Amino acid sequence: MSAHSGAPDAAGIALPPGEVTRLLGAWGGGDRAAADRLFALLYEELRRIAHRALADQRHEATLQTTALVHELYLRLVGGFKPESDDRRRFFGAAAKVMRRILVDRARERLAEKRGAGVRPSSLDEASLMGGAAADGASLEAQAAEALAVDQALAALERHDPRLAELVELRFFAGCSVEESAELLGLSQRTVKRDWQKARALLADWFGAGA
Amino acid sequence: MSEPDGGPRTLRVASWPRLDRLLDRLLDLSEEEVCRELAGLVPEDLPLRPRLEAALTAARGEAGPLARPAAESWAPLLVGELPERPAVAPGARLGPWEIEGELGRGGMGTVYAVRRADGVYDQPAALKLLAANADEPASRARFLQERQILARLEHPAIARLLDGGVAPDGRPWLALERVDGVPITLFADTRRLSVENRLRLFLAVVGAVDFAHRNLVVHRDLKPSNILVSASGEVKLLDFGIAKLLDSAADELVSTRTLLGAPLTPQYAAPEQVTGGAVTTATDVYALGLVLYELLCGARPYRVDGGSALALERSIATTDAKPPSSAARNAGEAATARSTTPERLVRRLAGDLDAIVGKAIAKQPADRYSTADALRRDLENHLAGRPIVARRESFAGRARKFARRHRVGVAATAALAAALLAGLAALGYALLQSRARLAEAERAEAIQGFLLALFSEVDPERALGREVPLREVVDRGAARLATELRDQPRARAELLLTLGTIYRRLALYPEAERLLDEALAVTRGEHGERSPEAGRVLVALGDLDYWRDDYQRALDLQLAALAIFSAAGVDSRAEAASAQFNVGATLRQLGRYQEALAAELRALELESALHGEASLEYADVAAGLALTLQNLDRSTEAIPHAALALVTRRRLLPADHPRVADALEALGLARMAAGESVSAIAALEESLAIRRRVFGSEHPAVLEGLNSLASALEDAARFEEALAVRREAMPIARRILPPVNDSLAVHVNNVAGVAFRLGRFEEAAAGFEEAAAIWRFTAGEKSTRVAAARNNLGFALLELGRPGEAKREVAAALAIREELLGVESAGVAQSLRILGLARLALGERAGARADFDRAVALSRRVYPERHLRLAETLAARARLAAADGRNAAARQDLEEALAIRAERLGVESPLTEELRKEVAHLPPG
Repeated sequence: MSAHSGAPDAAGIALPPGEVTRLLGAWGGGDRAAADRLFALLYEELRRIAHRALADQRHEATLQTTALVHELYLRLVGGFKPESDDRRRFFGAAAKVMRRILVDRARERLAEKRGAGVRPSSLDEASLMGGAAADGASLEAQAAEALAVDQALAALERHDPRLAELVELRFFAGCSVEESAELLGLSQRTVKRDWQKARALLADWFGAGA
Repeated sequence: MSEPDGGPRTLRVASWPRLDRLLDRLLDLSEEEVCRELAGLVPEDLPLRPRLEAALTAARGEAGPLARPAAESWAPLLVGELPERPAVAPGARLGPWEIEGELGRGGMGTVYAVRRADGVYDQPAALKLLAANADEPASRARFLQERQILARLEHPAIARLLDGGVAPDGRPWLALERVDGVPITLFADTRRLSVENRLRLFLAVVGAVDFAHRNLVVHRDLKPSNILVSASGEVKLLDFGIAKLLDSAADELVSTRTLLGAPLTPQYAAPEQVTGGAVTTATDVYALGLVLYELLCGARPYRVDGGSALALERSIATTDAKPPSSAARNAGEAATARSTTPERLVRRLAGDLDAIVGKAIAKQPADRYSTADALRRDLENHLAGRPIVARRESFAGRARKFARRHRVGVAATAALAAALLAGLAALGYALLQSRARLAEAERAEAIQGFLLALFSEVDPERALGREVPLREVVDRGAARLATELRDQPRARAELLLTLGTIYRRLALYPEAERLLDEALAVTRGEHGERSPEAGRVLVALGDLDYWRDDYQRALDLQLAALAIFSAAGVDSRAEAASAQFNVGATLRQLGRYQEALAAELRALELESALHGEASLEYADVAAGLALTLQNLDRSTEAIPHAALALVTRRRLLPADHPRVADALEALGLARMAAGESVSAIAALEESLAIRRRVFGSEHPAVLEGLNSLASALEDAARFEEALAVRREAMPIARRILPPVNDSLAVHVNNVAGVAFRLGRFEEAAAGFEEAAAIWRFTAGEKSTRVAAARNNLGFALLELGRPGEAKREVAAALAIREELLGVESAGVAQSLRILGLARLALGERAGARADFDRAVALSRRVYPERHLRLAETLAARARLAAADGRNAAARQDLEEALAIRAERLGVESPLTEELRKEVAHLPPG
C-alpha cells in the first residue's frame, strides 16, 4: 500500500499518475469532457475522504473543510506542480463538488423523510456526531439549511459571479483569505471586501425569509 | 424551499444592484460615518435602509450559515448514509449475490452459500454476514475501506475476498472464495502425517501469513478452523484481516473488547490480546506458534478445563507453556496420528522444535520471531539440518538481562536512568536489526563493545559503592567518542545520535547540539544526504530545537525529515508517521492551529493504519490533537482524545512515565476549557507531581505543568493559590529559558494575568506588553499569541481608565482572532465583550450594545452550557441595559448570569453576591 506519500491512496481510485493534472489542463483548453470526468473523480474521492476523515475519529466529528479539500488536492494532484490556473480550477471544482455533494445529500435526506415518514428521531446522528450534535442542528435542519444556502448562492451567482466564486472557495473549499486571493489573482484587501459584500447580500436574502 | 415568482426573495434580489452600490459606499466607513450616510440617504433609497443596516451588521458580524465552512457545519449531512429498509431473508440478494443456503454460524456471524446472480458470470462463493452493525457512517466507511485493502490480498493460499458491502439493516457482509477443506489439524491427523510432512504443510501457512504481513494486513484470529486444507493438500487461509474489519465496523458499546484488540477466540489469543496491548504481526506469529504446537503434539498449551474465560486469559498472560515434547509424553493417540510412537515423538520434538515453538509463543512480542518469514527460515533451517536461531540465546536476551542487573547501579536518579534505558533500548533494537544483516555485524559489535565498556564503569562493584549519576555516564561516553571508534564511522554516528538524544532529554541542550551536529555530518557522509539514517538525525535535531522552543527551525528540520521518510517508501512508514506527528506538534507551538490539526489528523490516520488505535503511537497523536483542538476552542472535542491518550498510556507505561503526565495535562487543560474546574485541577496536580518526581524542579516540563495548574486555579477563581504557583514558576522560567522565548512570554503573560486579577493593573499592563513584544518576535504580529497579549493589554488599559488605547488593542486582537481562529471561537467572544466595555467607556453605546449582543450570542454557541464567561458577558450587557433604562432586559440578563454563577461558583461566592445585589437594585419592571 503506497498510501501516504501523496500519491493516490491504494484504497482510493486507481489513477494514472498525473491524470488529474492532465484533466485540469485539458479543461483549461476548453475540453468539457475532461471537466466532467474531473468532477466525477472529485465527487467520489471527496465523499470517500470525508467518510474516512470521520471514521478515523471514532468519537468526534472533527471534519474540516480545509483539511478535506487539501487532502483531496494532495491525493489527486500530489507531487505534480500544476500551473496556477490549474490550481484555481482545481479548488474551484472541488468547491463546486463539495456544494454538489451537500445538495445531493440534502435532497436525498429530505425526500427520504417525506417518503418514509417512519424514520425515528435523529437520535442516532446525535450520538454519532457527539460534539457536533451539541450545535443542535438535526440532519433535516442541516439539509434544509444546505438547500437554502445553495439557492441563495444561485441568486448571488446571477447577481455577481465573482462574489459567488469567492463564497464557494471560502465556504465549500475552506480556503482562507490569503488562499482565495492567490487563487483568484486578487489582493487580500479586495477579497476581504468582496467577502463582506457577499455575506451582506446573502444575509439580505436570508432576511427575506425570516 | 421554493417560492413563487414575486415572493419576497425575488423582490429583494431585484433591488440587489442598488443595495450592492450602497454597500460599496458604506462597507469601508466607520460606524459613525455609516450613521451619517444612512441619515442622508436619498429618498428612493430610503426603503432599503433597514435591509442595508441588517446587511452591514451581517457583513461585519460573523454569524449565520456561512460562519463555519461547509464540512464543519454539515458534517453529519456530508457523511451520513441513507437509511434503507431492513430486509435480509434466505433467498434474498446481497449485492449481486443470491443466497442459496446457510453454511454455518459463529461468533462473527452467519455464513451462507451464495452464487453470483447478476448473470455476469456464474461463481459460487461463501458470504459472511457479520454480526456487527455498520449502520453508522463512520463504521461503514471504515469497513468499506478495510474491505478494499483486503480485496487486494491475492495469494494462492489465502481465500480471496471477492466482494463486500453493507446489508440494508446495517450488517456488513463479505463474499469470499468458497473453500472446500478441513481444518489443518484435522487434515494432518486423518492423513496421519509425519512430523516432517506436518512441518512442510505448515510452511505453506507461514508463507501466506508472511505475504499478508508484507501487505500490512494482520490476521488477528489465526486458528486451525481458519486454516483449511483441501483434499488435494492445498492450504487456504480464511478470514484474513476480518477480525480487524469486524472491529472497524463494530459498534463500540457491544464490542469494547475487540476494540482493544482482544481476541475473538480466547484459546488462540496472544498475551497482548488478553491484556489489551497492541495487536501486530507478532500477534500472528504467536498464533502460528500455537497452531504449530498443536500440529506437533496434538495438544494446546493452555487449557480451559472447565475454568472460566478469565482463568484462561490469566494463564495465557502469565503461565509458561510446557514444551511440545513434554506435552507429547504419554500421548499415544497423538503419536499414532503422526505415524510414530510416543517415545520417538518426544525425541523428535525435544530440542529444535521445542525451541522454535517456544520462541514463536514467547509472552513478550519482542522475544518472538520478528516476522513470519523469520519463523519460516528457522523451520527450514531445522528441516535442512542447519543450526536454528531459536536455540542460540539471542543477543537481545542477554542485553536485557544486563540492563536489568545493572539498573540498580545507574539508578541514582531513577527517572534519568529511564531516559538512558529508553535510548539504549532503541539502540539495542537497531543493534538487533543490524545483527540480522551480517554485513553490519562489525558495526554492531563495535557499538556493543563501546556500551559494555561504558557500563562496566558504572558496575556497582567498580563504582565502589558510589551511585553514579546518569549525567556522568553520558559525559564519559561523549568524551570517549571524541577519540574512539574513528575507524567505525557508522557505529560512531549511531552512538553520537544516541548520546546526543540522551543529553537532549536531560535538557543539556548545548551538549546535545554538539553531538547531534557531528552525528549529522558523519551520517550524511556515510549514508548520503537523503538517507533514512540522515532523516533520523534530523528528527533528533528537530526535537532539540523543539525542546528549546526554536519552533521555526524545528519545523524546517521536521519537514526535511518527513520528506526523506515519505520518499523512502514502505520501510520508513513508521518514521514518516512519527515525523508527521512532530510537524503537527510544532505547528501547534507556532500557533498555526489549522495546519497543525490537518497534520495531526493525517498522523492519526497513519498511526491507525500502522499501529492501531490502542497503540502508544496513536495515543501520542491523540494527545497532541487534543491540545490543538483546544487551542481552536473545540475543547469538548478535545476531551475524548485526551482521555484516550491517557487510558492507553496508563495501560502500557509505568505509572510515573512523563507521557502519562503529558496526557493528564492535556486532559486537565481540555476539562478546564470546558468549565470542569475541579476535575481539571486534580488532573493537572497529578501531572505536575509526576513531572517533579521524574525531572526534579528545574525542567521546562515542570514549568509547563506549573503554568497549566495556575491557569486552572485562576479559572476556578482560586487566585491566591494561582499566584503562589505562578510565583514558584517565574524564577525557574527566568533561569532556564533564554530571554526571547515563547515559553518565557507565556509566563510573563500569565503572571501579568494574576496581577490583573489582584487589581494591580499597571503591573499587569506592563507584563502584557512585554509578552506581546516577545511574541511579536517569536510568533509574528499575526499570531494567536500576540492577539491574546493585546487583548489582555486592552483589558488592563480599560481598567486604567484609558479606553481609547484599550479599544485599539482589543480591536486589533479581535481582527487577528477572527482571521486565525475563525469567527465562531471563544477568543472572538472574549474580545467582543472587552471591546464592548471599551466602547461603553468611550460613550459609543450603540456599538457597545452590538458587541455585547454578538458576544452573548456567540458565547452561547461556543461555550458549553452555563459557562462562567457567558455570565460575565450577560452581566456586562445588563449593566448597559440598566444604564439605558431597559430594565426588563437588564433583569433577564442579570438573572441568567446570577443563576450561572450560583451554579458554578456557589451561592456564597462574592461574585454571585455581587450580581444578587445588582438584581435587587434594579427598579421593578
